[in-house]
Amino acid sequence: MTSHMGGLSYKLGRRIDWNQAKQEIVQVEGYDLDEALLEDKEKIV
Amino acid sequence: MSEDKSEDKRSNWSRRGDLLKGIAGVPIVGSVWWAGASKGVNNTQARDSILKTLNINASPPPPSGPMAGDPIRIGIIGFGIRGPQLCRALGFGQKSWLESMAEAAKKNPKDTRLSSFLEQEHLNVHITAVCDLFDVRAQDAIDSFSTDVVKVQRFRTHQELVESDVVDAVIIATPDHWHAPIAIAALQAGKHVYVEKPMTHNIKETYALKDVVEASNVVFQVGHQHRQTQSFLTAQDVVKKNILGHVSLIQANTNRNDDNGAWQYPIHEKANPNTVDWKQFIGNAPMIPFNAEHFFRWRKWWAYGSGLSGDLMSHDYDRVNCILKMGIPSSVVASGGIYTHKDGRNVPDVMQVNMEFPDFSTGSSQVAGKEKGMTMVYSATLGNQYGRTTAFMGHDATMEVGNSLTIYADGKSTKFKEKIVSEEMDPNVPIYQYDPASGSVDGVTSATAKYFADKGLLWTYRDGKRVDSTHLHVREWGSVVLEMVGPQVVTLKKDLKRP
Repeated sequence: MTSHMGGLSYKLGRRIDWNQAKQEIVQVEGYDLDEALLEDKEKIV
Repeated sequence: MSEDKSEDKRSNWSRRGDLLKGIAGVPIVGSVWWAGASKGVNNTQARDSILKTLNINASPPPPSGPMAGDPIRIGIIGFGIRGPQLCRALGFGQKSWLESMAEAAKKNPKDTRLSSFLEQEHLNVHITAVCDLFDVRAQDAIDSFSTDVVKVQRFRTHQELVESDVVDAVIIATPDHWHAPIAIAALQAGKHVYVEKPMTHNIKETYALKDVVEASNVVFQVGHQHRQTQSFLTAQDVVKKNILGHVSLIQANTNRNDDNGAWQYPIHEKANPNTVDWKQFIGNAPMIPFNAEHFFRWRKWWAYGSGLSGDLMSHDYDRVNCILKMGIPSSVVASGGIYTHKDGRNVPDVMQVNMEFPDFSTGSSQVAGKEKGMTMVYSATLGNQYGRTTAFMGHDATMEVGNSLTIYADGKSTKFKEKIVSEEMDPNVPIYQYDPASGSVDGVTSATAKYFADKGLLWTYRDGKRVDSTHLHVREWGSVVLEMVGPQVVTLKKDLKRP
């Protein structure tokens, strides 16, 4: 999960947060995080 | 020595390397142990005093269980680069590899790769099946591993392999985008799974795979081999005894500067749409016409790989997490770019990842509550191979961990203040070093191999003898698989949760 947070942060150019209580990555408004991770582009933002 | 001079020296990593060279080769109990004091190596009393103060219990990870019973029948899914390495860890060397290693050993007597392989413990496994989408590689596995007793059977798809009755377990060494789908299919078919890292290619897969693993009654293991590194348990003991004090910063790194390290793998001349099942390779990735570079160098694209964060940072994070048990960071910020290899790839070749753990603490030697929180910085470049260490930086000491383990007292330590003032400890000289390799690394033929070796990912040591880390890791998996055949299934599954 940490690696995915790293990849997402790089591609979206912003901080990615982890919700410890819900055990999930905090959603980023306007993005489907899995789509962003899999998007075959260097950076999205 | 003045404080200013002390700080100057501590910021100079190359000088630190020189210091290490100077102290290597003091063997005690088959390994290199050393505790340095400013008054010199020969000051046995001071050395003993420091070792007594530290009270570090240096020991390797506990041995895994016996490999007794009927042989495990293993299917290899993915026989590109990592697949053959995992087969060697199981005791099966490709013909071409054995020949090249024999040649290398002839040229360089210090090259012990072949002898280490031949001395490896027999693991009581059979390779009975292979699934690779490239005909040449699948045939290579069949030709190399088939015997009079066991014929390796080729399956065209992973579905057919995991559902067959010729395998009890599978090893998955495919591109990242196939890890979770194949692992889930295998688990659901009741097959034991060893899957290479990263475990998944996206977030949804992570939860889905976790659910399937928890619902299964088989053994699942992810390929983070450094857990077998000789210094690993010692590092845990160092943290447990709070020798470092409050760790506020961890630096972990990737530094590679050659084609192999930059994922510029060779493209096989016989690869074409007739010899490669391109449609199956693509899977859920965007369909494009056959592209040999994408097939062999898939790590360079997000569609199939996970870049530096998934391919290499995952090792560093897992290693640190197993020592500190700090869990998932509360936030992550990453940056970087494609600065060295502008060759059409879309994953970065330079990357910095800052992971924040604001509520984490390793302990303190100061006023209770004064210190809390930690940052882990992962810094990577595929354009330079300067050897930076993995460093755990605490208020009282810094610990460098790789295949060896070294601790330096901090010049401003609270815990070691008296010993530093009395010059019993010198912040520029290690107060502790554990180096089972005695400072020497043999059989290294490439910069990338050295990178993995320094991290303890290529090999480690047991009783002073070089052993393939992956061999120890797959052995651990195999021993639990074999034990699960017996009545202890529930107990063993519980044991699997041990860090």
